[in-house]
Amino acid sequence: MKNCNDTKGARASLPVRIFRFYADGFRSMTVGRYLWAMILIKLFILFFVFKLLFFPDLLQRNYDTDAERAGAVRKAMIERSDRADAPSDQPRNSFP
Amino acid sequence: MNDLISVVDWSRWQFALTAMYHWLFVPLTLGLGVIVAIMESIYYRRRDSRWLAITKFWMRLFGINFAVGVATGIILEFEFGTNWSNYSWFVGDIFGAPLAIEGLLAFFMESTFIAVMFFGWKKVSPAFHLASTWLTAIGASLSALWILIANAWMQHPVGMVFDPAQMRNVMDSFGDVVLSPVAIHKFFHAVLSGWVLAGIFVIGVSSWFLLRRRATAMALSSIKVGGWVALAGILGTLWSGDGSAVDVARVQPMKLAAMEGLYNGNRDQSIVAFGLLNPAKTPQNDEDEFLFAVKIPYGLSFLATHNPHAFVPGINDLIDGVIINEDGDTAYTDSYADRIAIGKRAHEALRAYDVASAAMNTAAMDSAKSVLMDNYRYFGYGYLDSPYEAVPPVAVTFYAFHIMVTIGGYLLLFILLVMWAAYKRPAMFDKKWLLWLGLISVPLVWVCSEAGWVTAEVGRQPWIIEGLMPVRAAISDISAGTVQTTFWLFALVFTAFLAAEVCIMLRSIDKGSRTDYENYKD
Repeated sequence: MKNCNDTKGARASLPVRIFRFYADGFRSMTVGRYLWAMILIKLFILFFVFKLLFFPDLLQRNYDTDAERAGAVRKAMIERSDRADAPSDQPRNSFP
Repeated sequence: MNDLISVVDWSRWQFALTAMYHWLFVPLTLGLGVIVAIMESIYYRRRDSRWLAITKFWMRLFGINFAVGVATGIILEFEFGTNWSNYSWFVGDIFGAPLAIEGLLAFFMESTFIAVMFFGWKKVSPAFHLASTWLTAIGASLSALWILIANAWMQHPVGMVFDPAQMRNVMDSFGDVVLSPVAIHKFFHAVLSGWVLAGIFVIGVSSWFLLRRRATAMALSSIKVGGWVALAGILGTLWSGDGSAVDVARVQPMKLAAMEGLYNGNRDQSIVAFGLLNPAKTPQNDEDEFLFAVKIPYGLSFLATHNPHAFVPGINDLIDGVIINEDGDTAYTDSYADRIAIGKRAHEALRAYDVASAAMNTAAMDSAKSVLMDNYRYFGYGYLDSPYEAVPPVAVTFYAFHIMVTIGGYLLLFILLVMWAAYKRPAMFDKKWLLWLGLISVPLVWVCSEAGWVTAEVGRQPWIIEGLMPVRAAISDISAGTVQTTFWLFALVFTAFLAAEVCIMLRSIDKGSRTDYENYKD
């Protein structure tokens, strides 16, 4: 009869099993290791280079409240409307 | 003003580049996921180790594409916050809600089940593994669904009301946004075109195996599965494309006119099968529209309304206010000059609302809001000085559409030929011309897929939200130099990743061609 205190043959908890599932999976990879290296490099470039240095969320960065952001967008869109009325020497829809 | 135009154009180019890079990976993920799931289903039913090996080979290619493509779309969201901040605020939760659902679905479904798909072969039961493979494929399509709903709303904004206090469009009918016919057709058109792309990819790679005389039985089996998926995909793409054409005729008639280079519409309108646009033609002159054109009688009337005798408005008709109504009949609406005047009234009201808001004058705010809402339907037109500014770039739209249709037509014939050969004349796969056709079709299907997006997106210019917001109102107050820097950085980095993917993919294909599929031991 199996001793109830014997934990050697017992199933590990769910989080441990999930961890082992992923760990074993990564360990057995061949081509996947290069792919994971690429993914990590790409995520680093995206989030730590592009996002931090080049792609700030301007409204989040420049204004503290949603009311201020709404006001800023309203002013910007009114100003664009004024600019639309100004004469231009170039065709507007020049893309591409 | 010149700097604004420059920022707008660079931001457009940047978004186009980012989206087109992203779309190199997405359709292959959408289609190859289904193909791998079908292959694994065959293995599950037959318990034949050969099909296990075939499944694992294509699954590896799926994994490479997924890994390299993952997160390329995130840069689009960065651009919304930096380059298009007015737009991202203006669309509010209508854009945010589908994208949030997409993020949750993408994260939970794909990241969970794709792990089981790759790591779980000997850890979960075959049935659970098969279910995970199917759920990965379905999860990818559901992710696409929410993105395409957001895109469809930009092409045909419905289910919302504008609130000048929040300066946002607020969703008032989730059902209208999600069940918009534009969204439904767009979803099926995009996802099923992914099936075509992946099917052709499988046929192309298998053709290379046959050219090298390696793993020939595996290649023929793969061609059959890839061929069925491509055939189902292209028939579905034709059906959804037909629905999309009717949608475009109804809600974006200017795009349809540009797709066909049609300046002055007619009843019994023919469609251009092949044509060379006259570069001197503009809406303001009487030059011929084409230098050379082969036309199919009644084609455009039928495409737009399913009635071969219906009137289809051209660019000049639309500027004058002639459209097709919900029933497919000719109708008169506001001319573009009137729309501009109405739009400018809406802008005046917004200006008055802003002043009243600063003075905390509630009565004046209500009065201004009332005028604004009465004129809001043409809010975007208020940014235009001339009706001709609402005409998209005709040449790009026309050629992109015709490239898509021409290649799509070729692909239909090619898929039918391949399926006939696979089931009736397997000996045809000894012919080098057929195998080379398979190889050449691989880049062509990508060109076709990208051309579809160019048609959809360039054809709706100058609008970022149809009729409500032109791109020049959507852009942030940033310098053109900033956008140029990130444009080239992005181009450099993602080209390097694309090159790396192609190298890894080619190496895996080569390795896969040397596997003994007939005596495979797991």
